[in-house]
Amino acid sequence: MAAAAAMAAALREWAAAAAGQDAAWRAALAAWAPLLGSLAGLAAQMRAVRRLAWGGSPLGSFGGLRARLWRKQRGAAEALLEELGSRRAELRAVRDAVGAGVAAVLRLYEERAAELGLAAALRRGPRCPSLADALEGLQDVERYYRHLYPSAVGLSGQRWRAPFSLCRPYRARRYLESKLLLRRASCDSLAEMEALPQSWERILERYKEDVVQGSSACSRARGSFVALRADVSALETARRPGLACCLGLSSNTLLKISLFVDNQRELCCSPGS
Amino acid sequence: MAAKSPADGTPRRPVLPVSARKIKDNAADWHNLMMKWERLNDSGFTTANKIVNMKISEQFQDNKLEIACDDGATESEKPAPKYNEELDNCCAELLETLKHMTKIQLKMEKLTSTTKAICDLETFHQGAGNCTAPFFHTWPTPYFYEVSLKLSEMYKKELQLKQTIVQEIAHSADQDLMMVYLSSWLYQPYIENSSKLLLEAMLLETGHRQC
Repeated sequence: MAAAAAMAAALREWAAAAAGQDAAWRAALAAWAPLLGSLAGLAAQMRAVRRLAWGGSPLGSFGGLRARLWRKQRGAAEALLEELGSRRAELRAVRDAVGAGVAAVLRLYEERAAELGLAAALRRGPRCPSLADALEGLQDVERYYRHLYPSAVGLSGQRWRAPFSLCRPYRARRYLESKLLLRRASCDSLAEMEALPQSWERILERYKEDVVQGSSACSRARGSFVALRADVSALETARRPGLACCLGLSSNTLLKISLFVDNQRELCCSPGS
Repeated sequence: MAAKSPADGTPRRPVLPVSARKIKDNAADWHNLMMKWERLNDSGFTTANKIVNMKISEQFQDNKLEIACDDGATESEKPAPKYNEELDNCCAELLETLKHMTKIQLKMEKLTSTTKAICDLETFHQGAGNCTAPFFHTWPTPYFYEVSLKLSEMYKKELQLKQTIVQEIAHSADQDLMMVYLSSWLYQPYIENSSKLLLEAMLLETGHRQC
């Protein structure tokens, strides 16, 4: 019982931190779209400078204008890339914080696994997910943040794995895809720079497909949980259209954890406990 | 309450010679004029952008009409180009912005010629045997003129470019050219990045900015 209570406390603490991290993540992501849009616009301008037949145009008499304008445009692009870089750092910070939080909870589970017992970890209530479901949700959240900001250690990044987690194919292609997008944002390829907003949107779109389609009871009974806990589902009303996947995944996990924690509290307070 | 003795009050600044005061005022004027220019550049860009958008949508409409006319209408039935009042208003607005920018550039030239006159006066005094210590920290007076001239030349060239853009932007059909007009207006290729550094250095030297 003590181990279950410790797990519930750790999960509650994680959930409180996750809400703040999610807000920081959404703010950083929201700042990406306009930056990528500006870069794309700049790429279009740079392409126009390249394509224009300067000699025959009214600007032909301005000596060195083409080189000067090109220099200015490059400077503006570099400033935007720098800003994008600082936003990337924000994403990395959130990813690391989420990763560290999840690792701490999973470490605690591994330490107390024997005490808890597998049967207790897998036990679901009629209205409440099991500890396994809650931990699985944690891994989903961590995986989500890592997808959009891939780790430098790449495929070996996932260190902690609960013994009962669902076996899902590791989507290495997507990791590389988002990593490449970040790398591609340079002035060397204007066509790619111009297509950055679309590429980014495509990646965000694909994450919507990546929301876990588990076989757990929690996933199946998601509707009833939302009906029970309107306060958690109310989070979803604040969704931004392009980022629905982000908050959707988090709120589902927060819901699982909230139900699990509440159930533990009820069990501790009940006369028979 | 007892009146403060002069020793208690804030120390009085040393009185600058007239030429130094003039140079200091000029530096402040440079700052104000450059800020004003930037604001006008922003509003001018908004107007120029509207003009280009109107031109592009006009072209799009014309293309659609052309396709419709090709489907059977004779040359005489083709509609005459419409007068676009909004486009006309935007062009007038852009001209007005350019007029303000021209005034600013003239003021910049005037500041430069004033600085030149201060240098000439100093040379005259030197001829009379007076020593010339820097007015402020380290800059010799001719350096103020050099910086003013450099800035003034940048804005002069930029104004010429803007004049061409204003004359041509509403008459171009080439989208690349329109894009280059807009980009040139926005990024001001003749105003080098060093202009900000020169201005800040001048403000620092004259004591408008503190280290």
